[in-house]
Amino acid sequence: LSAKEPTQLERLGPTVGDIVTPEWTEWNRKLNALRKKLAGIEAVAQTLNGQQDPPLLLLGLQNTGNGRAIISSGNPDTAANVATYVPGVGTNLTGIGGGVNRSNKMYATAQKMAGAPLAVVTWFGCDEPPDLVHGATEADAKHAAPLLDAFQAGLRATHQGQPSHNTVIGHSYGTTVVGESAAHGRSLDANDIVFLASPGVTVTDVSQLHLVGVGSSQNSHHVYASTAQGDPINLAAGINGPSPTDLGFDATGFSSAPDEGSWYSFDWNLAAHSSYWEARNPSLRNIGLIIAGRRSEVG
Amino acid sequence: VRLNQLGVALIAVASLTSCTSNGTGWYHVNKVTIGQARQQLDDYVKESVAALPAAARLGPLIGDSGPIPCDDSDGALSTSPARAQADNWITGLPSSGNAEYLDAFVAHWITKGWRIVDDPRPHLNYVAVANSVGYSLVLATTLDGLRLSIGGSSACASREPPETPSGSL
Repeated sequence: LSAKEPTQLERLGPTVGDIVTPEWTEWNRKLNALRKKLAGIEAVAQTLNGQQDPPLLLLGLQNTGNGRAIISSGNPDTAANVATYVPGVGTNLTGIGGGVNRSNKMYATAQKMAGAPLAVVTWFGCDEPPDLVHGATEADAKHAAPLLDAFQAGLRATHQGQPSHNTVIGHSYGTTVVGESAAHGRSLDANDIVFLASPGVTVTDVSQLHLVGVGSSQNSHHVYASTAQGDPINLAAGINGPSPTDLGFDATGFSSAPDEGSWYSFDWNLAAHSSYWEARNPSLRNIGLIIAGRRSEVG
Repeated sequence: VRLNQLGVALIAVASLTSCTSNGTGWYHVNKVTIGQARQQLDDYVKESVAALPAAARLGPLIGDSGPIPCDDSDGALSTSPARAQADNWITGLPSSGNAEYLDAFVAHWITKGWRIVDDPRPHLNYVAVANSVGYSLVLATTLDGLRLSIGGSSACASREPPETPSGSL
């Protein structure tokens, strides 16, 4: 589109007489897609400009798909503990500020537990499904898995000094992406992984996951899972494999606030699905401990 | 089996979607803005420090913590109601009194009608309290016991209108 075309076309409107022209429809589709991408890039810029401590580092930015960005709170090349947060369905670049704020909360909590230098990366590095209806398949996770694998391998390769302790934290459909990245012939370069509020992670138990440098017999000590009792995601467990909180999955479980309601009484609470970063929620201190490599304190 | 599971999941998803569309959902959104919630949370943090020995001071842990979304559905991380955050070190106190500081913190808020919602003591020097409208506070020490911190989250509050982007990229 030339600089003048949008204004001219908007003034002309979608119809000639009573007919909506295919040309206008196609133009309007492209315009909306561009506006969405631009809004995403503006959200990235606003986020980066709005914070100095910890410093925010832009590790990646692409305008492919819905738009992608990777932002780190703290320097992952020098931190002793590095976590990567992979969000869930419906995530798009305009929401990256909220994602970074969650990473900041995990950063602050890990600092409060261990005090060691750390970094928490907000990974909006793929196109997540727009909602859980589309998240009922593993297709998007299969597309995202090689991207997350490559990112984690890059984190390891560029780290300076002693190898860092790396954790990957998936939330909601993000857990499906993380599981896919560590299975089916792939290995994820992470010391620990955390599944929060999972609809399934594409495998049936921890023995089918592969973490670089971790023997499969040790996986149950390096794979953590938690879902709040009233979280409606409990009803979606099984779509992409059994919930990693199932006893048979053999992950290390940890507490999350039950919130109001319980899934078995159909008394779900939407807030529970987003409550894992509240100060009151035991999940937050447990995530901080896992990031800090203090697994013996998790519970 | 997979189809049955999908059907149940779709019910859950429909619930999630309908909650979002009415703008309030199943969580309680207080009639305050994020800025007002942040001010209230800061007041609670200061009141907590005032309940400790007089030498206690607030120190920076991270910069100005941004709000955390209350709702994940429909990609609303940027527009949904959110909780204001606070995270600070507490300085000026000898670490030998850590257990007493946590006791004093709990005692103060219990008398104000708050309740303990997470208390892994003595496994960890960490305790969380919450009030009935969604605010919560955590007092904790680092695992080595050398530093004391306070953190908190507000109730869900409405987003303020976004600032108009300045200039172009």
